[in-house]
Parts: sequence; structure tokens; C-alpha cells
Amino acid sequence: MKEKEFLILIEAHSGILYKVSRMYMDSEVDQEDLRQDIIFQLWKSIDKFKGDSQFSSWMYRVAINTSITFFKRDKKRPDKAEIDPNLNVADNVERDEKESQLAHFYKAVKMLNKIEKAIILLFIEGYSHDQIAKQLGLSNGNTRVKLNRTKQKIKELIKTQGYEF
Amino acid sequence: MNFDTIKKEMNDSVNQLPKDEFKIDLSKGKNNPVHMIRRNMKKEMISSSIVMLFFVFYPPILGLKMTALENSAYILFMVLSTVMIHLYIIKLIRFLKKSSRFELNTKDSIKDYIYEVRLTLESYKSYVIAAMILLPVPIYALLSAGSPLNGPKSLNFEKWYTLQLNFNEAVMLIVFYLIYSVAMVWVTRFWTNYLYGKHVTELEKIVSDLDAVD
Repeated sequence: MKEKEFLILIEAHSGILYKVSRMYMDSEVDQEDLRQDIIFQLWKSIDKFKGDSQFSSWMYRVAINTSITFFKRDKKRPDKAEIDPNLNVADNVERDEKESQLAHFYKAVKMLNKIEKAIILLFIEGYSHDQIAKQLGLSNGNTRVKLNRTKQKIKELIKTQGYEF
Repeated sequence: MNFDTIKKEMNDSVNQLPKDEFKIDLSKGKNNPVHMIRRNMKKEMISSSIVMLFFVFYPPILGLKMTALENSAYILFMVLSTVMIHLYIIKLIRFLKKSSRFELNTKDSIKDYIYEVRLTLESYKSYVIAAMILLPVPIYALLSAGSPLNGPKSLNFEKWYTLQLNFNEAVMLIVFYLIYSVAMVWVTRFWTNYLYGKHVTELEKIVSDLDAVD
């Protein structure tokens, strides 16, 4: 595939890059680094995409795998971000209600481990249990259990932030 | 709040983002070959500097008993090796500084980077091989040194160092040095390829992929 075609394809699915990078990284710099790593991995493995699944599914798989291994070698990076107890998202008057809801969600997501982040992201994107299991290489039953636990965990975390879920 | 509203808000927030022009930018990212080369160079600079400086001061730390000749030979050759190692460290620092200014988002800039890294690695190999070839002398001086408990050893360092050898011993020394030198060249090449070569090859593949589409 030509570079130009590849980049057009990536641009058409750029939402995946932004969603995944925001799920996994806190700072804008880290998110940009992760997006570049994902683009690089996609470029490296684009020949392996045979078209037997949707491009977006394949892109999600590569993006999540890259995110999971992003700081694997760098042991100093925490798996879960520390939440600043003084940070009260709801107090941010500049954000409207919608952004505040999303901010609460991302704040809760930071407390999840890497697999839970992948599971919840794919669930929100409308993937079935079967598809999530395939994407992450888990068994169906395990995916079902993990998804239910993760959903519950997110709800509880959001509730501790004083937000109804 | 529920997961449906989160999905909608996620999509809305992504759609509101300014659309960047997407490109393959190797100056960013943590797992691309450029980052791997930089990371390995930094690690190697620190570890080799520490190891060499440690070995310069190794005999006094352990309180080893060396003759004046062993001591002077050890210090002289270790200092020479340490200087060699630090010369290539300076080369690597210069390369890292220079390459940090590379944009690495075009084919030409990646080609320039590959050229620079290849050049740096060639001089790196020369310095490492030179430093390695000096090392048998201080190692032999170290082996000959007596520990505080056991006293001096009889390894005839002076005889070998001053080349007071008969024909067979001289041939043995030459053969040893030849085999050792070839082994060091091979080890250095293998090591360089292990740390850097595979990443440079990956970069070259990217360039050839990009070349193929022109």
C-alpha cells in the first residue's frame, strides 16, 4: 500500500487513534507519542491486513496491543495513574456538563488496568462479547466476567466522584 | 450518565478535535526504531562509563598486591582503554544531540538519520575494538596480582610484558592475540548489530517501502 493511501485510511479512522490514546495516556505529549507508535505499528503491519475483517476492527486490535505494550519496557511508568485527591473535576466551571461527564469517565478509566481499559473501550464502541474476546484473545466466558466487573468498577468509581451513574 | 451517553460524548469530543495532517513521524513515539537506538545508546554510555571507571580503581578497592610493573601496566592500559571508551561516548553524545534536531517525518530526513547513525556506529566499532585489544594486558596484570590473603602469584607477568620469550612462547602470544582480536571484532559486530543494527535495518526497510511508492 502506498504511504498516501495508508495515511488517508488512517485519517478516516483517526477517531480510533484519539479514543485509544486518551484512554491509555494522561498527558497530551504521551497521547501524541502513543498515536505515533500506533501509526508506526499500523504502517509496519499493514501488509498483514488481508481484509477478512473490517479495517476498523484490525486497527483497534493493533492500537490496543500497542497501547498495552507502550511502556512495557519502561518500568518506571505506572500501569495505573495516581489520582490527585485535590482534583475535583466537577469544580471546573469552564467545562460544560457534557465535558464534565466525559472527564469523570476518563478519571475513572485511569484507575483501570490495561486490559480493563481495552474491554470497556471496545464495549462502548459497540463490540459484542464475542468480538471483544476475539480482539483481546480471551475466552468468551472470561470476557463476559471481566466486562461485567469492569462496568461495575467504573460505575462505583464514578459514584465516588459524586456523580450519578 | 450511562454508557450510551459516554459513547456519544466520546464521538462528539473526537469530532470536535482539530484535524491534524497525519504522517509517520519517527521523532515521536516510544517504541519506534529511532527511539530504540537513542535508548540503547544512552544505556550503553552510562553502563560502559561506570564499568571502565570502576575497573580503573578496582585493585586499590580490593587491596590487591601488585608489583610496580604490574601496577603501572594496569593503570596505563586501563586509562588508555577508558579514554578510548570515553571518546566513543563523546561521539555518541554528539550524535544524540545532532539527531534530536531531526524532524524524521520525511523519507529524506530518515535517510539522513540512517547515514548519520551508520557513520557513528562505524567509529563506535573502531573505538570499541581498539579498547578491547588493549584489555588483555591489564587483565593479565590483574590475574597476576596477589590478594591480601594469598600473596603474589607466579604468572610471570614481567616475562610476558617485557617479551622475554622463547620462540614457542612468542608464537603462542601472537596466535593468542590474533584469535583474541578476531573474536573481539566478531563480538563487537554482533553486539553493535544486536543493539543498533536491527533497528537501522528496520529504518532502511521503511525508506525502501517509501521509495517503492515513488
